[in-house]
Amino acid sequence: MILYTIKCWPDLDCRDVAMKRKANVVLCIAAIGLLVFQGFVLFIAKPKGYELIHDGVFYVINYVIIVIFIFLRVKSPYLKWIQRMMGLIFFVSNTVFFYYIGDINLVVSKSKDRQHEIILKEYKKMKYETAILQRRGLLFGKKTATLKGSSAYKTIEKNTYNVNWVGGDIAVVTYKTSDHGPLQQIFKSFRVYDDHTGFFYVGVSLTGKWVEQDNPQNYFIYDRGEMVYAKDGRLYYYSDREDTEQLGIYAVKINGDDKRPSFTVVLNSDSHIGSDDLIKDGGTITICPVTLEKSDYKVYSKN
Amino acid sequence: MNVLKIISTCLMTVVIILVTFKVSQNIVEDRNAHYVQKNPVVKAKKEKRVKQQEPTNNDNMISHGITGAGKTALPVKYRQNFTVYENKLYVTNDQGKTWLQVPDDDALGGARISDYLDAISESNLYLSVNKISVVYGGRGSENISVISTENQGKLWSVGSIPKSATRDLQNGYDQLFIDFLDNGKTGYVVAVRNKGTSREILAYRSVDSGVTWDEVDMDDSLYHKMLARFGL
Repeated sequence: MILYTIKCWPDLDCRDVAMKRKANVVLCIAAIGLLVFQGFVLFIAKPKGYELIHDGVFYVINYVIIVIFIFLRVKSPYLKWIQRMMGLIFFVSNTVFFYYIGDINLVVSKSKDRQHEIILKEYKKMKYETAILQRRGLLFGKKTATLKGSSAYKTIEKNTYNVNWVGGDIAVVTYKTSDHGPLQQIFKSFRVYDDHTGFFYVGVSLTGKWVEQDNPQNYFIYDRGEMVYAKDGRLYYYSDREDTEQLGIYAVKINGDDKRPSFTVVLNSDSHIGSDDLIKDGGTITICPVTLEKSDYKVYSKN
Repeated sequence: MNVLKIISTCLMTVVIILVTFKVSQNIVEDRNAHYVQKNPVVKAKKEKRVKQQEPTNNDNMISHGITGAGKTALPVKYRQNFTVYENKLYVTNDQGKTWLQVPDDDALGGARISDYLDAISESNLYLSVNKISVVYGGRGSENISVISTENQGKLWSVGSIPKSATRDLQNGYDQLFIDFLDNGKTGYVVAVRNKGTSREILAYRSVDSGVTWDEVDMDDSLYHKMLARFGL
């Protein structure tokens, strides 16, 4: 067992020894506290899906612990050398880990009313997937999803993404998964429905003709698995069986190809599902084109 | 002695830094190398489509009924057999004494007459004492519809002609013609669409009083007979 003893500095008066000893004890307690915090981050929070929003905090705390460790005084000159060498090793390895693992791109997006927030956390140099975090307190975030393909392609680093809010309570993240590949979209909903209890199929609930509120020439029809999308004077046809992908219980993504646009249909907060699994009259939807270009999401109402 | 100590200390420090750096870097690289993607992009195994999928939603061949308002009088002067009053289409078969409001077809995917008020002309109407029919539609994803009544507008029957949608949201058919022969049993519908300098003419025939319609091929002698009937 290594015994750490604290002694007064050579240039200090012995009257200060007690005070210095007290300060060192406080530092030791602080170091132990920080170690406990690091342990909590690694062994309790992380397995439960929580992580530090800013990874830099973890490495800065490590530096503080290392500095305290180096400043602890030991009697034996051999132990002093070991202490210094270990301090150096910790310092270098912490710096390397900070450089590689702690280097992140962070995007914090808030809804217009600033009631909701999503955080995108991308590791610049690691293959870890870009995570969508939901803030838990000042330091932590709960990982709710990861971006598809983000292990190999760093979309935030390349600025090939955007975050939009639909109806103030659904965040839509559109992003690339490669330089030339198709765009992806992912949703994070903060909506709380109080009149439904389970899963329903979004596609079927859209049955009917939906007309763009600002431009009636644009419309969307869903009828028995077949879809027609009229946009800017052109018509596109889709099949529910082949071209759709449900996202949660509020949205369905319609996948196009090189000749047909991809878009996502999001149920707005005024859309409530009736006992027939269809959206009740008066509900609206938002059609979100899958594009990185600045385009307004359009609200459609049932015709 | 001191110089040797300083040099050896420096050397040892450099060695420690280098070794620690290399080991730490290896740990990071090892993590990266062995990282298994949890959410990779999976390419869908989908056959490449040659053309857009044909619409099927609007190809409902079965006619369905719509309740109408029956005969009514309108405060309009008779000029032709149809008039647009308060954004609704009215037709007459007694020279304006009474009028019948043509109802909208609210069936999903069906053409609504109120969307085609600007495209209605006399050629779109078939008027007899017992039967009134209006042909309209064809714009965008909507097929041509034929709406008919045989009881003075109390009940209308509407059916659509399969695969007759132009899929052009701006320009549908330029002219539509309708006529019935054999006491209303055989029906003719001809749709004309200008395409620059040329024009496309499609002909449809019904042998069941307009319940179902079949396209008549251009090579069929009936095709030319039908066109001639409408002066085309």
